[in-house]
Amino acid sequence: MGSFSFTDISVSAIACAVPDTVVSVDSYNQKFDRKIIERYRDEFGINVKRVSSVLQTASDLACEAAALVIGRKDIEKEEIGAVVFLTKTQDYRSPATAAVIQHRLNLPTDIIAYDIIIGGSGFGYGIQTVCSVLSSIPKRYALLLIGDTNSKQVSPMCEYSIAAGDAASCILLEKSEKVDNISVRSFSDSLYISDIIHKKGAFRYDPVISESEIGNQKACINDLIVNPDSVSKYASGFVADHLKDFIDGKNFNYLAIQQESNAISENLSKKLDLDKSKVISNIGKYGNVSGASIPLLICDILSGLKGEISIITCSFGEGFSSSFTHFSVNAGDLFPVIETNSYFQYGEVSHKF
Amino acid sequence: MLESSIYNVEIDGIAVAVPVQPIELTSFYDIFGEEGVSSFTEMTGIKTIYRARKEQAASDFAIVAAKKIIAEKNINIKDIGLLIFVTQKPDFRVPSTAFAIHKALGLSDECACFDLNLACSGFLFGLHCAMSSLSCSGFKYALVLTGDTSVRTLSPFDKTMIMLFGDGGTASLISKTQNPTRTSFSFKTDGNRFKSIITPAGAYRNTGLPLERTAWDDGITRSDYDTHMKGMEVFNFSISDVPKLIKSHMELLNTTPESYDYFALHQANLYMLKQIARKLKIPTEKIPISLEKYGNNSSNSIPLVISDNLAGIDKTARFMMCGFGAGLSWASCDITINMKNVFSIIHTDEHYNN
Repeated sequence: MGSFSFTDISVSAIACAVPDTVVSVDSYNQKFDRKIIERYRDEFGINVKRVSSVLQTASDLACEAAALVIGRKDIEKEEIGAVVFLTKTQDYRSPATAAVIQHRLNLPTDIIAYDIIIGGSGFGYGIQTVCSVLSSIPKRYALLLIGDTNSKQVSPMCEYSIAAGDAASCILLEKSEKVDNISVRSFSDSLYISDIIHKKGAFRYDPVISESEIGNQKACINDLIVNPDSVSKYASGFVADHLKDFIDGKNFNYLAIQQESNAISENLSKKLDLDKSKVISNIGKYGNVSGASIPLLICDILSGLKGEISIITCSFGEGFSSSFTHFSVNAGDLFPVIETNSYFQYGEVSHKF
Repeated sequence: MLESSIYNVEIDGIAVAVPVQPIELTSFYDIFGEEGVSSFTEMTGIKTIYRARKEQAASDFAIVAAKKIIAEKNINIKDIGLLIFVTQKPDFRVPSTAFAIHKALGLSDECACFDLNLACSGFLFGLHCAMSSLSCSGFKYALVLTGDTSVRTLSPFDKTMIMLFGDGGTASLISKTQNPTRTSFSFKTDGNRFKSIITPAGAYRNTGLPLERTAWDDGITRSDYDTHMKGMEVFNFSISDVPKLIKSHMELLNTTPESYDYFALHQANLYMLKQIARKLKIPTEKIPISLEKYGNNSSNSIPLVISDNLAGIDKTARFMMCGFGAGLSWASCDITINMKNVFSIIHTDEHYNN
């Protein structure tokens, strides 16, 4: 939605949670050809990732991250006016998962709560949306939660399952006295809608998926289909061009690029002639965790630092869509990544209500 | 109650699209019996509903409505900076259906788009999201679309649900204005009652449940993939929490029912609407009704009831709107709309397979 600049809101804290189960890329060697494994390890840069249990959902991880932020920042819950959950792996078809999160976190009922369905580009989209909402309400805080259990969305028969990791994050947005705290720019390019798509299981009646459309991914027809080459082309073309414009004239300490693959990050860095010491990466530890990628990268690499740091983020994903943000944050408010196997036991719902 | 006021942004157009063929509730006599259907109609006020054709998705109706607005208002689509599609019946699991709509409408790559997942309260939360975002942006316009094909998660054996819900989609054009406008919202969310209206299976919790429909304790045959409503809980919510919110909102604004031309309420059920009117002392003629023809249309309800009853009248009207439903989630909105920008309901069998 073009350019945004929020002069009265800051990123106050970020926390992330991942499942405690670690899966190695090499564990896929019984399922896929050696060359495929090598591609994901060498070109994508993935060594291990985190995978949730059957009972653990994205909101379980998001709640852990949010609880940590609320506790560590000693937040008065009555001052939280919005909880927005960005996900493509909701708990239920209805109601919105954000409403359940409101209950689980014991947040006030005087609150805006809904889900936004978006994956890879979610960080920038979420920042611009939740900052806009927070600007319009008489509350001090808003919670932007971003999370997905990608491992449940990609067929185990599909090679992209090697990359799909699970994670969630909580970004605390707070009204502040700072000047020009957050700038955002976002884009949508729907021409490539079919290059990251999950048709089955939704409500377009009986979708007809052609052989040419799925190519060699026939085994994935009922699940998320990703065309990594098309994503790479989008990142090195459209995203690179607009990131260059966004970065121009901005001072920053670190650049956090969507952890889609090391090859994409390196290509972007090279094309924009970036100082490599500023470009942070952690895909080797977590794989592609879609919307939570940027906050997970920031917490994983930058927590433990001291003082105010300035960060530019570049996220992109399905649609295609992309978004860039620039903000500063106190490094002491970036919390170490939580590892958890917890889940919402009361969330199991059936006709035995 | 959480109040939010947004200035110098207004609803500049409303269009609505629904399926072509009406279904008379009398056609359910074979399944539920004449007495069962008649008592249902008496309670809910519903006589017909419109159902999407098999090949039609919720987005198809929203696209038709959006095209109508873009054409009628003769706007440059490059000036549209945001498209929000409020739905619980998306075309795909990934990406947001908003991208398919973005493509169908030929919007620019600077137009952000996403789906917002809420049910019957969704129009007002989506409207607020769009208005607050537009206020912070350099763009002229935003589109708030709603769409639902509720029938796709209903058991055909569930009398309380299958005759209640109709399908359709709406589009509302939001624009910046130099006029000194104030739109005031109030919001509530109570996830403690998330099981009151729920579609338990089909997403990412409660996975692997059987698809087969079986008889539940209430005697109705359904599966966990079907939407289920706890009738008494929802009834109590609708006739207590909902009027309480509207009352609090009016008190905050220092208004009374006389301050408004119309109360555009979510079309849940006629009996509930009468109870809300009684509690708030709202004259019934100020509450337009579309239940009789279109049933409960989920997030479409508010634009639909306005379009059905008030399209094109020569008046600038002040509304108190209220949406309420699954979550539980409810919201009200004090807003003024120039009714010449509200277009008549379109009936369509179009669908966009691309």
